[in-house]
Amino acid sequence: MLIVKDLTYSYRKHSLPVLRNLSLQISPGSICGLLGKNGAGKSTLLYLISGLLKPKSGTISFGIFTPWERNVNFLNDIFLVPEEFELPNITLKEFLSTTAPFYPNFSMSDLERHLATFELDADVHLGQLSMGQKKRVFVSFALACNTSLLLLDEPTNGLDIPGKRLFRKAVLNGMNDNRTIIISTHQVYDVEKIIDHVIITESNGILLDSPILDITSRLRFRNTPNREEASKALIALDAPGGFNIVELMDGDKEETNVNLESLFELVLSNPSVVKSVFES
Amino acid sequence: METTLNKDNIFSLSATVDSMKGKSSLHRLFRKEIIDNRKLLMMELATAWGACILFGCLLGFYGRGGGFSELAAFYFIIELIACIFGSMIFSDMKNKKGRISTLMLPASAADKFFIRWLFTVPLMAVVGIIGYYLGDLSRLFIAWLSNQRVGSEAYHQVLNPFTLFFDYDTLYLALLGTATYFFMQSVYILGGIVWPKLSFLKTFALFYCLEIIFGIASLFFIRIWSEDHLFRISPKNETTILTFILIFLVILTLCFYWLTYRRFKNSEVIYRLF
Repeated sequence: MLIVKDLTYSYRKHSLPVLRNLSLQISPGSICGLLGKNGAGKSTLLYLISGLLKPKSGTISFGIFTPWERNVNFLNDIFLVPEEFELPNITLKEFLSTTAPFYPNFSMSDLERHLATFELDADVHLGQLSMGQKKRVFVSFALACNTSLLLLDEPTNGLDIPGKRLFRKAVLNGMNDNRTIIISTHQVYDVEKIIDHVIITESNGILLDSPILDITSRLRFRNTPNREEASKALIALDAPGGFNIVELMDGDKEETNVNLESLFELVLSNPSVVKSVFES
Repeated sequence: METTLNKDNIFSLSATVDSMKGKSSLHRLFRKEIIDNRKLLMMELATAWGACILFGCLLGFYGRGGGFSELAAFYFIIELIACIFGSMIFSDMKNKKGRISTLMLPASAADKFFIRWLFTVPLMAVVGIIGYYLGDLSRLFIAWLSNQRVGSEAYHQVLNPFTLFFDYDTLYLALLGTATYFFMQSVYILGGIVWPKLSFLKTFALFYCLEIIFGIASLFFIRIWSEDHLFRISPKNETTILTFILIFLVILTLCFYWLTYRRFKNSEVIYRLF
């Protein structure tokens, strides 16, 4: 279980905090989408969770570990795929022989499976890959390490359209009940179909922290050409053929898939309404 | 699509990974350092030995060698190279990407620091000694090629610098030289973690400013104490003073290693000077 309590962080002593009194809990077995505007502190939160930054105040714990202490057993059980990363200028096999042994749960067969999902050849030289191919290899490796906590920061940046589809497939293949995956992104369409928990942040804290099931039981997302319907909705966004709207769930209506973009806009534009909906 | 790793590769790679999982963290880090950075390490070796050989060839060409001044020049070159490579000890942490991959690697900060220290300090010292011998042999080779006739017998032999440790007259010089070598390198190693970018130049500038201030202050106090007859360098107290300097250098060197480790341990993904 990942528990963040009253977390505050600022990059400089006297500057405004990037994160303020942020609290959240994420249980194992969930793929969590961490959404927020640019500069909302998504990457900072991931760095804090992975122990790459020291909180100014508040606590973070992952099981028995405090990330900032960077205990070896904690590092064994967490993997961060940053938005931009460096791979050594060696072959994939050499990379595996030097880096995989640091992860006790690394599985070669899982790696093969993920590489196959990404339609990648395993006999590659890391220095000769494009950015997108490097990302495919690195995400495959990250999934094959079978760490309890996997943090992905903007994982679909640099991936082409098939790559994004394969990414979703690989993440779903790599998921199990003991694992927590946190995906930080502002490309909501890329993760819409795979996440089962949504966290929307801004610097003042968490605006929404809810399982997808809970969201769909309270809100309906649909497209309508009807302007009057749109005017009555919680939010209506222009869309081809009409409006994407979010409305309150009526007991007898069928649940819909979440439209993350609409949800995101609703939460940012009207946080108090969202709060009242989810607290009721 | 199927991956193209054939079965032999899969099993041998799996076996390698599994066998390495059972090894100590230091063992794994050592192996990773060699494989991941082999080009850099080869380049460092080539630079260190190349510089020594080049200098040896120049000495041979000009008919110099076998004396203390040439030994001192070799010492200076090896020291300079050790300081440059010492300042590069954390060069992979100069940007965010490198910092993340270094800090997130599952090994303790002490192990990660120790492996870097091992490659930079003891192994670099061995490289320096080998470099010296390669340089002196190159000098002799060039002298032999050009069929030089220089009177001194020492000129035609490889000068063994370790003999300085076995003669009481030169023992302190050898010890001070060795202590200064490690001290100077430790300064640049500390500079390497304080300033990941352009660390050699920044450390060089700061260290020499401090050295000038320290030198002026020392001269000032020695002069005052000498006038007051509180202090006088004589053959009697020279050994004591040299011993103090030696101990001081050793303690400072150890302190700088410790400070470097502390700074490395507390490194964050973003660079902070303070």
